[in-house]
Amino acid sequence: MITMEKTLNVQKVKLFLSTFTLVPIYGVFLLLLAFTTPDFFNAFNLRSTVTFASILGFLVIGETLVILTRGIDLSVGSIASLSTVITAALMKFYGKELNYEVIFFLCFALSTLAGLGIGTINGLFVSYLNVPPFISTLSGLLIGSGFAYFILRGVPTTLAIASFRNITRGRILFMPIPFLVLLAVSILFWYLLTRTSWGRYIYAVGGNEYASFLSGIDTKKVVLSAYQVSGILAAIGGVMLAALSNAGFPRAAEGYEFRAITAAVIGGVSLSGGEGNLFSALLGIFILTTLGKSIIFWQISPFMEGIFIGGVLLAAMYASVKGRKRR
Amino acid sequence: MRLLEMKGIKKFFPGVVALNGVDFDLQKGEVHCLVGENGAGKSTLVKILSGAYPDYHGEIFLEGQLVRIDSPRTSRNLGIAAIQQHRDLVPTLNAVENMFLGQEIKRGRTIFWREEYSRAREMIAAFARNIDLNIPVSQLSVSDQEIVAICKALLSNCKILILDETAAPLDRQERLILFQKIRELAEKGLGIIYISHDLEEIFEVGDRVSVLKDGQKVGTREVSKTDLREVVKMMIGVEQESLIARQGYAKSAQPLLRVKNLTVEGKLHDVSFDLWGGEILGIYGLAGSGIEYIGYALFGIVPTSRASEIYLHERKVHLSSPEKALKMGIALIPDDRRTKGLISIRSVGQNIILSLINKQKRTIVSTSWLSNLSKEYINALRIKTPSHLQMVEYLSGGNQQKVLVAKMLASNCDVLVLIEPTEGIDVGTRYELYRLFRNLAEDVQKGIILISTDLDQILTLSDRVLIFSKHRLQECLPQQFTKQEIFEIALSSTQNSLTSPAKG
Amino acid sequence: MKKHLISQFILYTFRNYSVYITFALVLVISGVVSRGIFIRPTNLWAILLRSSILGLVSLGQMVVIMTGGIDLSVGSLFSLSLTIMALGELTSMNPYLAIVLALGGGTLVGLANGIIVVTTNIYPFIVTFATMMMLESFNLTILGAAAFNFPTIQRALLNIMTFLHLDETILSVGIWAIATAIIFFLCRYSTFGHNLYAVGGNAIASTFSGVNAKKVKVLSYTMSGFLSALAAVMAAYRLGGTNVGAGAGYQLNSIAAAVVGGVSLYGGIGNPIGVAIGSIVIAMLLNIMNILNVDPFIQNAIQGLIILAYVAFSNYLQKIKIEVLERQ
Repeated sequence: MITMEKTLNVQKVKLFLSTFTLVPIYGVFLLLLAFTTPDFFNAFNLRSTVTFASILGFLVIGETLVILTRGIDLSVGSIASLSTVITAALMKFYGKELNYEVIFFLCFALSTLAGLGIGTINGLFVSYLNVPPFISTLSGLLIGSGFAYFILRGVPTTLAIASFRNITRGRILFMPIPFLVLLAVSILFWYLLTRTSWGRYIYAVGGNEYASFLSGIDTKKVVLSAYQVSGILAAIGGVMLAALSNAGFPRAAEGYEFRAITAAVIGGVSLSGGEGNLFSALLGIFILTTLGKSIIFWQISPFMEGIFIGGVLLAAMYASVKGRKRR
Repeated sequence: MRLLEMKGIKKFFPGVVALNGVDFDLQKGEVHCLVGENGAGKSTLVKILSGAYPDYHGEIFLEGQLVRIDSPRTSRNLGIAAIQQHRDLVPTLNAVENMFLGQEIKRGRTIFWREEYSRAREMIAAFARNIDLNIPVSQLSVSDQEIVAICKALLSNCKILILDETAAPLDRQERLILFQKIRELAEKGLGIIYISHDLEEIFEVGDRVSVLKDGQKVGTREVSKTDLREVVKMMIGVEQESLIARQGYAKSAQPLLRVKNLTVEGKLHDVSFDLWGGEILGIYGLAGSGIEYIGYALFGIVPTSRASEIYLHERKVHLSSPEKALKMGIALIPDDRRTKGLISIRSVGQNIILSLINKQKRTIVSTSWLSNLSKEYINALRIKTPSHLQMVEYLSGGNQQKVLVAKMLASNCDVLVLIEPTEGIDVGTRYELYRLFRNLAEDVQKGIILISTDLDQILTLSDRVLIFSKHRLQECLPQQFTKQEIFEIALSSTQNSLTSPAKG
Repeated sequence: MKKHLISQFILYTFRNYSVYITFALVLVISGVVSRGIFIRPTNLWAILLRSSILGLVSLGQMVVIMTGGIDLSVGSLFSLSLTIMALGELTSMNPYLAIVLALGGGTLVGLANGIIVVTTNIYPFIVTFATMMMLESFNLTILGAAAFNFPTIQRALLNIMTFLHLDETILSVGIWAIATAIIFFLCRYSTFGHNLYAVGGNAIASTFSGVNAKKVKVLSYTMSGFLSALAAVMAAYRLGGTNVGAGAGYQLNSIAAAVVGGVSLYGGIGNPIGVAIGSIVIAMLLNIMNILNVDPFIQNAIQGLIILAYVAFSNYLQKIKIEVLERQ
């Protein structure tokens, strides 16, 4: 009995261990910030960093799921953008007629449907038509942007219902609401990934699809579901993004898939599938977002953010490839 | 009633007939062993049962009922569990997750971790091993992985258990435990199909044994009523007398190639031998012994240790890449033409010239030059193809192999290394190639190294034979020994290095 | 036996000849749908210019895809070259020198891409994805939101054209034709070409045949870099300047042109002539969509769908071919 308890605890410790390597890195980074630009640590900035990172976190969870199946999802950014447009459009056209709760619900519902739709198309092409994920989700990206443009003719539209912003402004116990929602959702997915068959199959399919197939798993369905979930989560993130920026426009989340992928890679999620844990990926996006914000504080042009993220991505990828080779 | 009956099973692959009308049956509570050389069709038969090859011809009856096995899931639902090789595990998952993949223990929707761990611990404990259940299986040793795979099958509540080459990575102790478990299961009424290259095992654990050769069944015997000699005879078959080893041959004055202390980490250890011009040197080993690495090392594909020395024409050379090896005059036909040999979407002509143009660093490759050169080889080797423009993937296995041989010949090298050069091709083409290799060896300038697990081939072609086992070259034999004896030597060399006293 | 010949025939035809059919279709449909605006000589001339610029980029993309990789940074390489020229203008550098530097810069970054891919073994699309983002960021930092003109460079280019007695479009098309011819020659008649197809077809088997796969890959990314830079130089005269959006979309366009031209994204299959025609097809498509006032986002979506359709369809043909082969 004692040995068994030990093995289970080892599992939990392992989870913290991989997140653990990132935590000190994050810690050191924060210390560096404290020394170089103590202004960073004002309440407003911290809150806005956490809020933004939390919204991106939704995209990261979905992206992580897809990458675990040895795929990639380039459409999460455009799905989020599409969701901001859907939100703005709903408010613009129906803001006066329907009451707040209905609009609120519809924004999430319709965006989620859109995200699910694009995710399904992505997944179908990847698993049933054998189109490489990169191409399938690239098309998803383009379709999403296409619709995003189409709905409001590309005109950046402020949200007609100003109070919607409160989603991202509200706090409970000093924690921004998006952060709390992200926490809840990530715990849910952590549970799904570690305690259900579906979760195990996600890892299995990414690790060795053929072996999973031989074990009787419907690998195609599993892969499809990953893309669908990614689409849904990206949509939810998008609606919150609309609240944050108080507007909807087709390029709202442009490049966010890049950040999501980088965050996952930093978090140790392997692009060849089957390895990685959710919490480190989320930690990755927090690190990345902090980095992005600190650039301004360091008097570096915000335009250079891309160079930093690109560099981090290459470095993280190199580290992971090297680490894999050692085995 | 028979537990399993397979009638007239045929399976085709592009260009190859893997199984040509095989019958097989299995009784309840029986351990039925399946043996045969590489490529005989054993794995194919078993893969049909496990659902990996859904398009087969023939009929399968399970407990008298006709069934169609069209997917792995169907196979599992029918109660068939197969362990093919440790590589059918998911490398990134740990042992427990792998064991219960597809058969998770659940409490409602949640996976019941504790129960899975404890059952896993139990099973592993029975093998008297301490395997870390928490790390990804890719980090376990090969034999540990094998045990995990075995446990996975044992946990599946199956009626038929198939073990394909599972015991190879295990040591003596574990094998005995495995056999014990197999007997226990047989007593419970399971039917077990056991495939192995190790013939001695058949007599330890089997009730009946069936021998496959070239996609057909040679025969089935009760283990108690036969012996090793007979089984080997059935496996190896009657010699095709049309080609016998040549009696004498002209040798070059100096050795063409001298290999000293060739070491490849984990695969080869201090391998030394000489190759003379005008001879065919056969290197024989059992499947999985790693003989192909000798070929890879000579061609610069794998890195060799500093202690390794290779001398070509008495000059020391460093074969750091295939390009270099070609320039030095060493050419290779690799095993597995599909993945390592041919570029299937390119044409016959394009494949044939590929090594040559890289060796020569040719600037212009004109269509007429390509066409003439490839036609030369197509004619010389009698490659059956509509034209040199035909894409290689459309050729039959034998002809594809001929294209590979043409490529090697076109590169004008003096040392020709052949790894399993006639695997998976029809008998007619095989003998054509044998004659070709013989002719090549008439040239005192050229030397051929034949690396193969096919004993027939080794003895038909080689002027000298070296036996390779446990990472080392163990013996150097003249022509006088018979097949039987060589086989047993290779076999017993393996057994002698096991930790416990050998049986029998 | 017959079925297998038919499937082989269909796949081969599709790969090599579908581009001509697509070309004809797009030409005819565009002419009809635009009520003749499309086939006006001035318009056709404009399409030709655009095809040549895109054609150069697509040529580079083709070479990379054929080795089994992909180059997502071509658009940013294009912008980079323009940015270098703008910088040259700003620092009053000799315009001819600036042009040479622009070409060199693109080639060097291409080389860097190749070296990173080959030494680190990171997936090519990640490497070029990262490079693309970094270059975009770089361009953004230097240019900001402003537009830069480079009149001196424009004049220099004009001088070159007058010297050669060539009009802008003809020069561009000429360079494109020469580049295509060179690559065609290389592919079919040189060792490099054979190695290129070999590495793309089966990298492992090519290594076992003595091909230096690493060298082939590095060269392919370098060529792509050079060709994208060259395209930028060709476009520089007409553009007269640059801003942060320049070059956007070339990665998508070049992949679409390659795919339409019969290149397989898995590597080892494709030919430069097909890609050249494919570039014209995409240029025509972009042109007609502009005439019809289709929004750029939708234009992108359509290109994406085209790529998707081609890939899905050729996968489907592959599947049939394999099934037929197995049934023999």
